[in-house]
Amino acid sequence: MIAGSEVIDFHGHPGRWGVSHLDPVPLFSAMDAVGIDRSVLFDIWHPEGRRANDITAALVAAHPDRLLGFAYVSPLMPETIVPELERAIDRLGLKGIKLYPPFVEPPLSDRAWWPIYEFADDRELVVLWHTGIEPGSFPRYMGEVAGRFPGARFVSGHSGNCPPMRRQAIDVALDHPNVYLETCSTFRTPGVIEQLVEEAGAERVLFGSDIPLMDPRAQLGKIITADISDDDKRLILGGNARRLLKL
Amino acid sequence: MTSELSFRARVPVIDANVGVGHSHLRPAPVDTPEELRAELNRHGVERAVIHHQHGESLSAVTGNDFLHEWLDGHEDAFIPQWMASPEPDSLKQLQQLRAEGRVSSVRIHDSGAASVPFVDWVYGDLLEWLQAEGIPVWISLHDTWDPSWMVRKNTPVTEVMEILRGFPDLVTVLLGAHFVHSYYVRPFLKLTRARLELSRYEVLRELEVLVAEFGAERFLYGSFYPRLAMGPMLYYIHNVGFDEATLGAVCSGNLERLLEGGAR
Repeated sequence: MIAGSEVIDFHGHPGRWGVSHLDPVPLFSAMDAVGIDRSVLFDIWHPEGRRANDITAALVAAHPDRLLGFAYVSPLMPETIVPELERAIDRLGLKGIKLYPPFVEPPLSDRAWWPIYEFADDRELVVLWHTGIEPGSFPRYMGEVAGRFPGARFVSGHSGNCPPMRRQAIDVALDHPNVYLETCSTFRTPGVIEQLVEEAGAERVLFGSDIPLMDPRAQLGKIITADISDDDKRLILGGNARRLLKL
Repeated sequence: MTSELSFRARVPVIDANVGVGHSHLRPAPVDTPEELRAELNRHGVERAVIHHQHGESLSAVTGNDFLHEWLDGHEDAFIPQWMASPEPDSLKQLQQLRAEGRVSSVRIHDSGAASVPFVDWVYGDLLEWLQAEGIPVWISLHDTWDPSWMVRKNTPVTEVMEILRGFPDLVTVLLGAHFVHSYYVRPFLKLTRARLELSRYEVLRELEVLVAEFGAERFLYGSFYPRLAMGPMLYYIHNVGFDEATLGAVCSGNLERLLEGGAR
């Protein structure tokens, strides 16, 4: 908790290069040092989804008070998408969907991804996209599908990462009420949090860290040291995540 | 546990890595020394080591000329860091500044981005002089993001390591290491005179581990402002769990000693 408000980190992985399996103890230590209550995790290394989602679900099951899980599927193995989402969401209890377009040739707006969006649309699930400069990951692709699947809550991971893509992400959020902006990135440009809040509104911004690639304390510092109101900070740090994930 | 929604440093802080002026690629959010002082003050930072961004990849000599404008009347808050490059007049300019007693550190930025290999036959004379004079040199690993070309150019870490091995008494500060450099940081720190500036190094819990492994004296707070916001890494360093002496050393004490050594 920070100043009485729950803090939820919306973007994390159960490992990184050189560290395939996350040790949650040091993660919790870092979270506790700054008052982060819960972190969302997802594994993106297994295109069939099953192994990835089992890894995520096992960590969440071991620490249900500290971790939330998102499911991963990929158009690289289209036949597995719907059955694996049903398993991951209905049986494993994962709360949303993470997609990683740099591994896939068709852009995020391509029909290859639509079965995932239809699934999320029906169930009003969060779909967290990696967005950035990689082909297929441009935030503008969100704008091509967000209106078609109004029940889904699309989240632009990294808010596009770099300035030109951030501009796209904000513009799409302005055009579509079911699009949100997430903050993790090493592009810690001065004024970036202020820009997201001023232009898209604090109710559309979600704190994320990208653990364990990044320490959540530095990423939290982006929000804490931003020149925005305390009410806006509370929304970004956890209020919006609670609403989106129906916690 | 931190439980507040705002933050100011609780120990004296000198930012080891601040650029001034407008880069041709990125206009800075502050336009004047007064505005930069206000940004320092907002986070509780007392002073900053500053270089002019024009010197990063266009002209070190001209960038250093521009830096004088930022120092005038603001020497209490800003510590000049002079850019160096293979330009014909660069070493001569630095030697003149040195003779005037104005050099406590020097910076080489984005050699790779400027398409200049960071190798002995280009930089050897400069590094030889810095080593002989005991002047610490800041070396940037930060990649350059050029929105006009949509390309990223990385400073080659192999060249950095190879050339520094030839100057074992040269005091170096590695800037802008990122999680993509996490395999290189430990080999770099085996160079006994090397330090790591922390603006972009935020791998989960690595800071605690590295300080335990190499000693707090090897690490410096720097923000890389205005590329990066000034507050987040300072907030992070304040929440690592360091005792006050270690926190003070990382935030200013280590830097002060380096600059005093360079100014001799």
